[in-house]
Amino acid sequence: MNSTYIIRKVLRALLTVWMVTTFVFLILRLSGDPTVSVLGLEASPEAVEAFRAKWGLDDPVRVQYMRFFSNAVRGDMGDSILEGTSALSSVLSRLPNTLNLMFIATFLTFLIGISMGLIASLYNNTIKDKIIMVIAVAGFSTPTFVVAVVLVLIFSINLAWLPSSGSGTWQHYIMPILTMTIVEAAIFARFTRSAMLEVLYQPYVKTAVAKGLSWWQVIRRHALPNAAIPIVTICGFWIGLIIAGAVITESIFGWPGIGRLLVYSVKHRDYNVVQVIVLLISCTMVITNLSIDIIYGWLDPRVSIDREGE
Amino acid sequence: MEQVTEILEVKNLSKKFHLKKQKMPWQKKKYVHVLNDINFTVNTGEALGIVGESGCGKSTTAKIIMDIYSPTSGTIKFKSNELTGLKGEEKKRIRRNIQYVFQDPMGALNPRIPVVEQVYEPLIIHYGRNIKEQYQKAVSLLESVGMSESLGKMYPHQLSGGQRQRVVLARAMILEPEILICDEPISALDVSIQSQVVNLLMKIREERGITLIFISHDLSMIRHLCDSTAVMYMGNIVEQGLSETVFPNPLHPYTKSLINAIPIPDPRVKREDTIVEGEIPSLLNPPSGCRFHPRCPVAMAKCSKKVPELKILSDGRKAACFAVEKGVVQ
Amino acid sequence: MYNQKTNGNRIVIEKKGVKGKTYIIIFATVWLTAMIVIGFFAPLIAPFDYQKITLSSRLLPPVWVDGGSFTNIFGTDDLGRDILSRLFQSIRISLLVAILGTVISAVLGTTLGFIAAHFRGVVDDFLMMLVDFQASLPFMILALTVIAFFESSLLLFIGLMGIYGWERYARFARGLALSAEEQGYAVAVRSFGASPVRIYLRHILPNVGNTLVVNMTLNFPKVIMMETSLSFLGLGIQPPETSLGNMVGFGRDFILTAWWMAIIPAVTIFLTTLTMSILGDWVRDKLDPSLK
Repeated sequence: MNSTYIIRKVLRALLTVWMVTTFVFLILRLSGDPTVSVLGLEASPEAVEAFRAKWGLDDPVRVQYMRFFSNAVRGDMGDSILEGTSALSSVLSRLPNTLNLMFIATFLTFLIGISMGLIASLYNNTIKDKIIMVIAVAGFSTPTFVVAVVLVLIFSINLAWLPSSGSGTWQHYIMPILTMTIVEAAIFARFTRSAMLEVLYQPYVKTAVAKGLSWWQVIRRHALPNAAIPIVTICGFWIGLIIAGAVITESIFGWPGIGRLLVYSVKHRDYNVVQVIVLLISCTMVITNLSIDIIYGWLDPRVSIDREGE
Repeated sequence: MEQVTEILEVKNLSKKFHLKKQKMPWQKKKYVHVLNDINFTVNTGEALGIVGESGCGKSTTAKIIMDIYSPTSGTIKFKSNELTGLKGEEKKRIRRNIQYVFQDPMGALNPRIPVVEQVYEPLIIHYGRNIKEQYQKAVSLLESVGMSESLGKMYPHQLSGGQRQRVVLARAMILEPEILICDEPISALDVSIQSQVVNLLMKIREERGITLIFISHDLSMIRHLCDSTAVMYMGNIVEQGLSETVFPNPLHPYTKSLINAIPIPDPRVKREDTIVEGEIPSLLNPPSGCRFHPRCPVAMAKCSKKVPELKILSDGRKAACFAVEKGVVQ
Repeated sequence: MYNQKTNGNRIVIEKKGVKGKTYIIIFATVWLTAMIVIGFFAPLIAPFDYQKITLSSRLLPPVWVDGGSFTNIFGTDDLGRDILSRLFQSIRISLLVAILGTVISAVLGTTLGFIAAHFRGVVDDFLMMLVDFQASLPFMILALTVIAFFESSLLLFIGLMGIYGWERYARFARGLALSAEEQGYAVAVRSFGASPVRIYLRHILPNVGNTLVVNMTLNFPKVIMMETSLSFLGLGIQPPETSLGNMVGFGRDFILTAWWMAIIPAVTIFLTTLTMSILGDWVRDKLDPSLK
């Protein structure tokens, strides 16, 4: 695989991260004087002066930017206004909770989504296919919070089987994970199905069947590897989906993760925490997309070799 | 005697493209030298043919004349108006006189607009809207190229290749240009249609006295249609002159090999085989001196060091070859 | 082979399928038309003022539950406001935001795509950078960031929705314009003197048309979902204005005692986005199957 390809992708990724950092910085500057929001309107002139001096707010923008950047790189993102501790630690302490949810949900999503999609494609145009597709459309057309509310209604209120918020026991895991999985598995199912359909109707599949290979062999050796490319594409979507899903799901179920922290911090204007979370998410996505691009280059030789002027 | 005037003059035209394939932003860009100091003139009412193999630069020359690309250096004069620096209304007004017939008639037409509208669209652009009159003009023009009004109302995909080419031709004619440049006008057509279109072009030329420039790799068509011929190889004109001079007796080694390769349907006629070996070198790294020298059967030491200039010979033609100059080749 | 196994069933299912699908399309169209009509005439057809607080009639259930009455068909909320009226108004606001957002992002994205394709070079690179930027954050996160730092006003919110999805339009418009410019009719038309504006409006845009419409119909449910999600979190449309997401958000606190407050708007959202998705698929199949 072309090393030029990799280098260019990496450069692009770095550029994107830089852009997001700058964006976060700019937005803070544009949204008004933090002095007012932190100290309040009745602060005395001396307090304002001291605050401005402490945070270097009177320095030219360029200097502030450099300071922001160098601090960020060193991991100093300021303190959480609401908690008093460093914003970074505030975020990191909640990270494991979110990751728990995400891992399990991802695993289930892939499992259910892809197999549903496979089945639907193999039994194309039969009743199995139609049913799966109907469920899938319903699944991804429903906003996450609607699914969550309905689940809460059924399982917490009516049946009183599961707790409706908080975390701690395994029962607490069930509904949040269900919520996230339903929507995403639906999307995966649909996508896998169309990817497989494209491949299955290709001449080389018919040839393989005519040669006498069993269906399983055909799928394993011909169909799946070629369908793998669009499936890798969807992994690119997935990371964005699951993050957005986590934000809503955690908020609804009171799950102590980054998603809920983000919403809370936005509501209460805890800027530093918001900044940290945004940067974290952005880096994650950039790295994911980069990995996907590299996998692409490895899987599909057409992509990485001699591409004229992207 | 009729006054012979120059209508188009191309001088020192060069063009290089840079390779789009980017490596690292700090690596040097590579260039493709497509045209190398081209010079030629066209007289009013003349039919000039430009021939050569794929990649020799003939289409690029036409596109530069049409301002689809801009030249790296050199000038193009239309009736002593310098074309390259023009802007705005003046540009529109002068360039109206030079029109272009595309190689691929399907690609040159908008699939969603009926062809008659596409024929009179140039009129709208240059003279403002006057649909009734313009529609009539388009219809009569289409009829003069052999297409009925009802055909005009159809969409491109509903027409045959030959009909589409006529539409493109009509569209090029509607502004009543003085020069018509045809880029491989018949290569995309079925053989049976080709002669029809060729005759059509000849008819247009006779009736309207238009100057024609033909770009093609089809030597027999050029010989049939064109008064003069220019032969190009790797961005240079290697031989140029009246067709009746060049074709029977080509002098430049490359021209010789091209012309001798034209099949003659008479098995009794014997010809010397001018065997030219090898393939056209890459334009990224053209050979030094005369670009043909690596493949030339009569190459001399000088040929790899200096680029031969296009010089006028005794019979009125021009050739760029040291061997020809020396009289080695007859 | 799998085809043969179900051969018998297959023929029957296909025939049935065609009819079944048509019913669904009809239902979807009816529902959406109803939503649009309701949204348009909301202030006129609502039985009550959606903001009117009647503390004596708090938390009344819908008519089909014990204790409900036809006065308030869908019941009332915790401040005695009529849910049906609030529903109508919410539909109005949510649809308005979604339509405006879709149109703005389509126009914005397509224009940017054309501009990038036409000027190439630095302009194009800049656009690609913006697209990269957009792709590195889920839109929800981006929206939350902006809302965190600026006040959440209706105008800001519509602007945000107007940015949702622009990159898809831009990418497509740019691709089309690039291929059209490099060969074919755009070059031809330019060669006899057409101005770039004319080329875009008269020649390139109509070819974009179909796919543009399809993209818009596919995007519309997503915009609604984004808006309702943000409103649900309390960060979208703010009181005293109401939106479908708002209603579910506030209703959630009362889900034990007054489930209708959350469920009725939730069902409305579900049906609207579902029908819009179905119709979107159908439109796409009709106009531009290549997008499958």
